[in-house]
Amino acid sequence: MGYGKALSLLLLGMVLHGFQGEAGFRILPADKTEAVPGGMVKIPAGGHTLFYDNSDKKEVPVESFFMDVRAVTNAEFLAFVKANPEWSRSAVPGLFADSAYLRHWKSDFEIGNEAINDSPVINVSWFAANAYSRWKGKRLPSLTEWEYAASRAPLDDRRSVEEIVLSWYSKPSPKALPAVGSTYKNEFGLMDMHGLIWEWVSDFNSVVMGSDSRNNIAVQQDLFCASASFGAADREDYAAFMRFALRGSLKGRYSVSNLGFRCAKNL
Amino acid sequence: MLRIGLAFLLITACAAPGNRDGQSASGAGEERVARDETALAGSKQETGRPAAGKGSSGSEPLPETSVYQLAGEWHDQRGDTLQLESLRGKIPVIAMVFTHCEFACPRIVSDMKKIQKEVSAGKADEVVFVLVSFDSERDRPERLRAYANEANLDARWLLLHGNHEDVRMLSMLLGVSYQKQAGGTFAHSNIITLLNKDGQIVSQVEGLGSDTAPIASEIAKL
Repeated sequence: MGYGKALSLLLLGMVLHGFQGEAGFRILPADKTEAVPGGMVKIPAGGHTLFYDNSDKKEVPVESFFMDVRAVTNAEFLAFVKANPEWSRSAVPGLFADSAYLRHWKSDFEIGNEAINDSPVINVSWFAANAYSRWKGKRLPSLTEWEYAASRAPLDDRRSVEEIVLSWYSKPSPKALPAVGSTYKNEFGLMDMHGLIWEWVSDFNSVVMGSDSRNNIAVQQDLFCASASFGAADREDYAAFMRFALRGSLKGRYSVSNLGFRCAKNL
Repeated sequence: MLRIGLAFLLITACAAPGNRDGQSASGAGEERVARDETALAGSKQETGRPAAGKGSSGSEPLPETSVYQLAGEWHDQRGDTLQLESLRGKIPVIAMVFTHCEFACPRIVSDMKKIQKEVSAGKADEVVFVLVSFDSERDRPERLRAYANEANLDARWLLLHGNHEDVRMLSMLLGVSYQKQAGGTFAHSNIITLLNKDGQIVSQVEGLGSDTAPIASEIAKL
């Protein structure tokens, strides 16, 4: 077989492969008419460029998934704790929640302040948020999913996402957090993605940087590669930088006073 | 390099503003009060929580900071299924790696081999060297077995495969960050952790080619 023939076969193979890929994509269940679970919206598939991305690809593909419209509230979390008392303040082991866990509640099974029943639950560790999600038959959104979902523009607020976030950062936390759904709605139909609380993601510890990286050659190499994209995606995105900085400072057992969560679910 | 250094400084400096009412995330919980461990009884598999004491056949309840409270099933290089709690009573030296790793992981393994050489003969039977894989897709028992052979890991090494969620949870408990990269590799921090016989973290060594002597001397005390 001559080179020419081999080459044309190779090219043909590539074309066919590409075509199959394309066709396969079209056959994907475009409209499987999935019933959207109550309180959730369907987030369409798409791509997202992370503010800090240490992979080779700039844009990360995101598959379609369901996401809670609002963050989990104190009242909802209380129902979970009542059904799973091992997650109450005094029963949860230190491995899974630090001493600040639910410290804004009156007692193990009492919020003690009606004004915050519908406010987002805070002071919850990652492990507790994860357990709640499992209990609901859901899961926590991944970092990429969350960032993708939160990147959409507000529908009912003229300000950009950036402006909303920065104005939120600049104000002190109110004594009692407002109820969920009290800030803006975005193009995906999600409420309060910014401006109310920070939110846990399933893989918050996936950004390999932090103080422990300094004496860590492999990670430094990796960061060095990533440093090219660091800032390139969104040089101005101070807000995203803050989120990534916060995540980098967290541990799974930490309970933080303005960190809550919402759930996601596979289609 | 300057820019990277700056990024580190900024990360460190900015970590606090997430806690705007004054609670420092990094300091939170260090002063945790010891809690009644008897309240831990009962398995709640559906909440992703293990049952303390479950399967421990009448032994003392686990301390509340024991990593063995993590439920979940793992598979070792022999194809056996086990829970972390089955390590209770042994002295585990644990690291998280993936077998297709070309740079960092072989060095972690070599650091652990160094520790193995430093362990006194009297303790040698109690210490187990555990490698937990990030790579739930590829590092299944057969692959782990092949890797153990290639790397000359003897019977005192335990190589573990787990599902994504269990691996992620363990990484949180051990303070290991990792992220899957395009192309199937993993960016990860390099940490070797020594647990005591109840599965509590005793000592950690970060970085590659670090001084492992502290771990060996801690082992002597356990």
